[in-house]
Amino acid sequence: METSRPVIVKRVPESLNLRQARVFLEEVRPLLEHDRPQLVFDLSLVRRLDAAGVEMLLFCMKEAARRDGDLKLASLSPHARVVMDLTRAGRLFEMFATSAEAARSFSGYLPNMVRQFYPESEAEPKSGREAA
Amino acid sequence: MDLDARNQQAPDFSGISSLRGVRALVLVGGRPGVERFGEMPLALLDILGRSVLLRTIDRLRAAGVAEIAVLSDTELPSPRPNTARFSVTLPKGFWEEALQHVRRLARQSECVLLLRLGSWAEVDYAAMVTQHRRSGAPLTQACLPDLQELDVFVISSSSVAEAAALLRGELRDQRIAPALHETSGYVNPMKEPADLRKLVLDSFAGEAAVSPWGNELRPGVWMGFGARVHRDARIVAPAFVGAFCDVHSGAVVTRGSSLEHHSELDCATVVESSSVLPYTRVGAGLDVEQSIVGFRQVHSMQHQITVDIEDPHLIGATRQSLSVRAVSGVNRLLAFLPTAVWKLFFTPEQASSASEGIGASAPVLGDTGLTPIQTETKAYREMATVRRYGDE
Repeated sequence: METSRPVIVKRVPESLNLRQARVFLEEVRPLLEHDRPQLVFDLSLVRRLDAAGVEMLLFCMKEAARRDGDLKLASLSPHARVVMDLTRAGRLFEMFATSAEAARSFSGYLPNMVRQFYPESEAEPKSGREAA
Repeated sequence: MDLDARNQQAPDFSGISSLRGVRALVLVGGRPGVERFGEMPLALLDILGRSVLLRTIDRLRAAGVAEIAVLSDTELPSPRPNTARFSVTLPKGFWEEALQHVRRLARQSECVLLLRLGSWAEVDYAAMVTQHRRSGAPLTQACLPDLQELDVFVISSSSVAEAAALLRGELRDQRIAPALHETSGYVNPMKEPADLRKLVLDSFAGEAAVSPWGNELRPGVWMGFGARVHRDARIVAPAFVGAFCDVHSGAVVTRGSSLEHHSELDCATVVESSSVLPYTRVGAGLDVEQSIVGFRQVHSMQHQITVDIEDPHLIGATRQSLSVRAVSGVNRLLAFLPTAVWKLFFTPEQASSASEGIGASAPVLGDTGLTPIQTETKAYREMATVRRYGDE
């Protein structure tokens, strides 16, 4: 039986400095306290991102990972992308062009992954030896 | 150093006699909103220790031009050399002011060399003036072999009317048809910040006649006067560290990067294929890659965008005044000493394990109120991980 948990997409505000990061963290805290949270942060509106904002994102990812969940970023604005690259935080996150893609990626594991690659059989792939 | 290398470095005075009666006007700007980085014309930004403007003045002096006047629409950085007469005007009346300069220079010489920066063009001025004299044309313009026109003109003193039309048309009036002088020298349009990086790389490669303004300490590594590099920092050739730069521990400067004067690179920051402009402080632990950094801005060549960085922990500015820098250095030392002494004698015990350190909340955010989950890792520790390949 396959169970699917909800993917929550949260839009990050335009400015993410120390003050805004704390406010935003208060908003997402209940989401992070779920069991295995699946979060997507949409950064399309971000025009100001500083070190505290990046640290907040890393903190959220760490909290999500602790609960066997994940945090993914989507629709990064050019400003956010440059700052994420500058602070080397970009390589720690999975980043997607759109929120929909990011949300879809959460279901990209088995058995959905198997269905994606073997749509006809909808079964587990045969091993190489059996196929031969 | 062999003779060929010495000859390459020596200024070429062969055209001095032909340019003795020539005066030059160098225009900086004149096109609002373009050819700039952070409101500053690209021609005024340092490239390997010296700006395009100063390097152009050097070339004109070496060619034997009698008098050089510079007109800019932006305040010029100091100190200014005494080899040229500098003046600044408002962008609104820039071209009219330029015409006044041309008229004044034309009264004193047989022809005027007019350059607009913009572009870095290695034009042979002596050859251009010689061709202009032979042709008898009122105006001669330099162009590339593909007939792309450059903002380099020779104007006869008797052709002030043509010069007026040229300048009132901001050098772009298509109705004026000057004689063309084809040049095969290196040209960089310097239209966008990325062109600045290209000029740096071309200079390292020896394609452009732009030599780094410093001593070559190791092959391909140039260091300006008073630059300080921590022994744990790495400078990988080709690279340029400008005068009075400060490179802290663990920092890396590599792949044709340049740090211009009075810039500071904090600990463990990597600068790769990038240029750091003067008086710029780059924070600790950053990764500056394929970018131009300065004036609290980052221009990413990867993403083709310039963004403002307001956080001084990331990109800041060093003090421009020498006295202020000295006072701030003493302040930092005085603030550091008591902390260091306190830590030496009363250091609390460090986190006993890595997990405690990881479990701590982010220092910037403070207490977040989230309770960490107690995970049992003992069972995993005792497991052996075997990676299987194929059918094994």
